Amino acid sequence: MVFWGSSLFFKFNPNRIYQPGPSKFWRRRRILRMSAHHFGRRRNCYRLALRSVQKALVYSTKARKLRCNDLLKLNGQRLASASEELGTNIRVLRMGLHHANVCLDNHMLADLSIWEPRTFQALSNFAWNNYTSQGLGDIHDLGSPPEGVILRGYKRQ
Amino acid sequence: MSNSHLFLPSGFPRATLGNGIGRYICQLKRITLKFCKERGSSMGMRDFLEHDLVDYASKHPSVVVYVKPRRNRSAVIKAEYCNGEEFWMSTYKMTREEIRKWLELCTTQNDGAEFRFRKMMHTDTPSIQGPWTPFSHRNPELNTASFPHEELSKPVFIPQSATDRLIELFKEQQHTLKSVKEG
Amino acid sequence: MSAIRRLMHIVNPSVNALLRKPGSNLLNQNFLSNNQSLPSLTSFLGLKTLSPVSRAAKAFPKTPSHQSTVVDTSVDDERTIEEVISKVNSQIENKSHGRLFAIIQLANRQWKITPEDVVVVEGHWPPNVGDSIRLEKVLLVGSSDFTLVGMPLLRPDLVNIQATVVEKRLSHTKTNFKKKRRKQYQRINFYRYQHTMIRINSITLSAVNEKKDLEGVDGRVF
Repeated sequence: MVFWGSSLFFKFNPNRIYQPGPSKFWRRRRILRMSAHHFGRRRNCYRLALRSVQKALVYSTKARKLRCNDLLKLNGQRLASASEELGTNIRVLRMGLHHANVCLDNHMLADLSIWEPRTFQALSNFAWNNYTSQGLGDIHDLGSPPEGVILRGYKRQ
Repeated sequence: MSNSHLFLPSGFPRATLGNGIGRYICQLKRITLKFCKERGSSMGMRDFLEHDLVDYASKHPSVVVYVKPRRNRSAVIKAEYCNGEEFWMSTYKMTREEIRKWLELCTTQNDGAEFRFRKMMHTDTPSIQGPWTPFSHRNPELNTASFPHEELSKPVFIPQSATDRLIELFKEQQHTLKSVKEG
Repeated sequence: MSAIRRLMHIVNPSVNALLRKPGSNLLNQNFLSNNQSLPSLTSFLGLKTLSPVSRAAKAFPKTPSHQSTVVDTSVDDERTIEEVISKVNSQIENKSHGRLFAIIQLANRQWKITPEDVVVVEGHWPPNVGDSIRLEKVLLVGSSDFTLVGMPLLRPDLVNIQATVVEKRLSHTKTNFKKKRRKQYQRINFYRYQHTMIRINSITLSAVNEKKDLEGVDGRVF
């Protein structure tokens, strides 16, 4: 039994010019898919869409580094406000923890201040006491010390 | 790609049905390998089927493997997962090694969707001590304070007055005189 | 329980235990007594919020120019420390601390994790699907009532965090696109990272402050 399918009638045509890569339709479709959510003619007209999509891709590439900076600032702001609520400042918090070898990063400290406020308060109080007892900086504007901290004579090498 | 285009769904990482809390369960249900017996584009697939298929199948007994020879069609793998998602991939002109690796990926995936993670973590319990509220670090005695309250009505910041300073100086002077007398 | 809540924290002694000196602490060591009820109105941190203004209003206590007695609180300190630690240890023994959270360092990032949550590690990471893993770099462990802070890490015989690798897949296709306008320079690069999804199974603690014969070894093979 022979199966007669359309593939049997296909013949390679040497006169046809086979273009490399996708045809115009598919190339334009690739761009227009990405501009589907853009504004106005930029989503439908190829020339405008091409420029718009390229700009979007450049922005998304560059934004990866900018995001890091933004998050640093945001976490810094959160820590500053959290430590000021507890009567210290962010410098005291950071230095106090750093000089005790506590290696929590900004993102984690900010998360603790939001989700685990008691832990954050403990860390903040400890940092304050560490800062003042080790003489890490000017203490005159700091106000009275937080209660309930015992340092056990720890001193960083 | 910029993330907001419509064809890349986004969400948070989830493991299907709490996979891993008890034991790990392979999420791949079924693999279908289609290939052509003659065409050159399926050569890698044919090599894979000849040499690596039996090893693969015995190594993953929970996965059902279907092998379908189809004339005049290019080689294809289709994976179906426990949550109903499908992963379709053309293995046109791929080598045996490449197919083996893609198959390994199919096995270790939880579903076939191309998906953008918004966060690299998921918790059902983000807070154990209770999230911060404006009252977290305040004295709970405030709840039962009755107003007008003497302590609370005082201004927050009162700079030291001249009188206070003089009193302080006087006390220090007295102490010094006393210690001189004793000493 | 409420007493423990206010006896805030334990500073976990680091490996430099030799440097610990008794009672070298100066300043105002007002720490709260361990009675069951909240301390009285006036002594407890003031009624107002601890804003910088209220703190600065009473500036840092000036060292008096005349002689005064320095109160040596070292004996009381030691007693308080022992009480706190024993309370924490009793919670650990009875497993009445409830859900624990931990901060770990994994794949060059820090994560705050609890049991049953899912973490995605980006990049090449050897563990295979189904493997059971122990996460060793623990910076902090906390519960509702106490926190153990490592300086920088907690000892491995103190904390045990178990996890299972659940999935290994590729990320969505990311694009690196560079263009310099009017200079005919344009580059596009597609890449996909490996994503490993792990499920945190458990966080277990053992008793705090057990004296070891050898410090710094921590059960490791050298």
